[in-house]
Amino acid sequence: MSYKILIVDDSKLARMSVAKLLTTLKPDWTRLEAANADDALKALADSQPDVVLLDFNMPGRDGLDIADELRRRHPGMPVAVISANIQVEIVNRASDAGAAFLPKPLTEQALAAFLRDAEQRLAAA
Amino acid sequence: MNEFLEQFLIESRELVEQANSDLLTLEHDPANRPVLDSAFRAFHTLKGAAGIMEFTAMARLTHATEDLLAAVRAGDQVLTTAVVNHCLSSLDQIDLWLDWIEAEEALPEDADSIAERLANDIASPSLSHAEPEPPAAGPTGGTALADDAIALLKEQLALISVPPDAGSSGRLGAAGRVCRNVLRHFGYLEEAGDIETSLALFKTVLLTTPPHDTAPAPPAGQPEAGPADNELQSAPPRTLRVEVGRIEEIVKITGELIVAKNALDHIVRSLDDPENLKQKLQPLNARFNRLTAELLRAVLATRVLPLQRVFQRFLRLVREMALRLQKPVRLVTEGETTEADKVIVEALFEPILHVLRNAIDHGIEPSAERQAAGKPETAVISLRARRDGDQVVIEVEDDGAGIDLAAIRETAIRRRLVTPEAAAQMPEPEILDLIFLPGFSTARALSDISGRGVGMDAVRAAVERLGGRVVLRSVKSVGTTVSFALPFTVMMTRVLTLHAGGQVFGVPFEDVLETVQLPAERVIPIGGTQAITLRGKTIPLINLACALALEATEAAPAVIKAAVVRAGNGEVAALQVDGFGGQLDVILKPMEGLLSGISGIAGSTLLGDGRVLIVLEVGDLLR
Repeated sequence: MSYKILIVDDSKLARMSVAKLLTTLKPDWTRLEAANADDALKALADSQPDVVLLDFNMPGRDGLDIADELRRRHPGMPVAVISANIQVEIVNRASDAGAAFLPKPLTEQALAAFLRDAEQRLAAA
Repeated sequence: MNEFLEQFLIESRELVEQANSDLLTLEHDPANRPVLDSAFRAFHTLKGAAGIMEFTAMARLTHATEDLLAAVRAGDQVLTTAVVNHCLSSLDQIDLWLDWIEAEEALPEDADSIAERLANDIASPSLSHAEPEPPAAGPTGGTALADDAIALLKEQLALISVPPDAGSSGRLGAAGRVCRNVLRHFGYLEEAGDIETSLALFKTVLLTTPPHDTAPAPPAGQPEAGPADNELQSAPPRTLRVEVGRIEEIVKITGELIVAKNALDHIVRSLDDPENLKQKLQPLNARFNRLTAELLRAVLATRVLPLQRVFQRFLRLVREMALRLQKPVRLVTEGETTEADKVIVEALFEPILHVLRNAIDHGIEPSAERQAAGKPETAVISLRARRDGDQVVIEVEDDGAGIDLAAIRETAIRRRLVTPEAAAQMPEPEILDLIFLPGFSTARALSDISGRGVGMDAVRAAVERLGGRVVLRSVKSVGTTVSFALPFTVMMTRVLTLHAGGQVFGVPFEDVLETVQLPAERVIPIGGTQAITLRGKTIPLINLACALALEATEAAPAVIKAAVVRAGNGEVAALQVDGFGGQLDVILKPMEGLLSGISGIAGSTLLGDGRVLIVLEVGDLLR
């Protein structure tokens, strides 16, 4: 099954690196990108992605803010918050928002595990 | 360089610049939370970028700096000058590394040890106690330099003692800033100040040297935009220097894409099919049209320059002309930051120079006359530029004597440019407009300044060739204003000019494969048509004059001249002409109104002498 995935990060380099991993892991998935919270919410409304990857640290609203909003709007949607700061507080807040926490720089292994889980959840829904 | 490395460098340089400016703001305004957050985020993102690219030393250093700022954010650390200095030193080091990475695609060997040392400095507990003690020793009362600080200063010396090359300015700037920060950190404020002054001077020198496109290309692999250059641009957006040739290549490809789009557009419009293909193609075609138009706009926007450079050259030139004619003149410029297409900026130089010459030579009165008229002795010429929608407007205004309408009328009648009856009925603006007619000159004697054989007709032709307009206003004894209105960007097409049937035609240069000359005997008659053999291939020979229903100038020339052209569909033919002109960069205007339906014509353009050049559509001619 092919899904649509939204990558939200203010760094284009970071989006490029996630996109590269995705071409290896899920070549048939459709990739969408957004550079900030506003663009992300717009992409959510316009393109209805199935899975969302959020960078934690962004100007304006951060990744956890968006994760909170996503939980309200789309409960059950697989969401991951990616951060280079592996702090208990951030990890906990991510789990409160129902999002997975992935350390940055993202490894193929970590992303593969999250996507496997996401696919199972989407198939069950 | 791969796209990841390229993106890494672009982002990292932006972030370094952002962090630098945030830190300098924080030094004066330590309580500014949004700026602190922004600085923190910059280091954090730098760390992330370094992590992605696996530049571990850079990740290590940015991590340490980020931690320091995190402590400040949490209120565990006071934002002292020492903290700011540490962060600035990190940025300087990162800047040097970015230069290195740009050239070598890797970090230098000593990066790990440097990162380790700087990170340890940053993490040292002494930081949390506010300001360092007031300096106790040294030339300006600084504390004794630590060994690693001396090592750092020595490194900078080594860095700048290599022979000058394209990266020199970058290295010099970066080294200077590192030294400044080290000295400031240890309390050598006066020495740090000296370096600061030198840096400022250095920047000014860099600013006034000709920009990149006039300098020889730097050797491959050298970082050309060093850290000092980053500081030069006061505007916040990060800029990337690109060789003009590369931009021209993109412009050229865009031009060809638009030609292809026009052909497709034509096909879609004239499609007559039962399969509803047209209905399916139309939305796609509309989108294609829109996208190519957007692409063209975006591509041309990369070629804009401020008018500053042109304006600056005039300051000197006006001074020289005024000295030579012994008329005190001051040139005042305004709006020099206004931008325009490089093509426009460069092409405007001559016309503006001509108008300035005219103003000094004819417009401005000799000193004695000005005094008698109660005018200040020093005349003022204003050179102004502004953006007006899609146009750039440039005005040259002098406070001279104004144009003598009666004199213009007389001259125009004498030169038979207008009949006395018509002249008598002409309203003022039309009389002023006579100045732009070819062969008009009111100068009593040709001076070597304005009498260079070009008149206002040449100025108007040059401006119209660029798709612009020039208007003249004048009030007697108050002054004259010449306004140029030009498009912000232009798309030039290169054409080859050909002579046929006593006229000149253009052919898009990209359609011409070669020009040939061969004896008439080699023409092979095939039925009613003719052909020639070129390197074993037979190609049709089309007499251009006949094809355009013009009278052939010479019935049977001994030598056949022909341009070998290829149409969009790949068909090749030779166009027989009377002669070849030259290459010309023109702005092609599509035919309008009644003429728009004529096949065989791609468009028209104005030649320098005001004649219209018709540019032929090769595909239609071969059909």
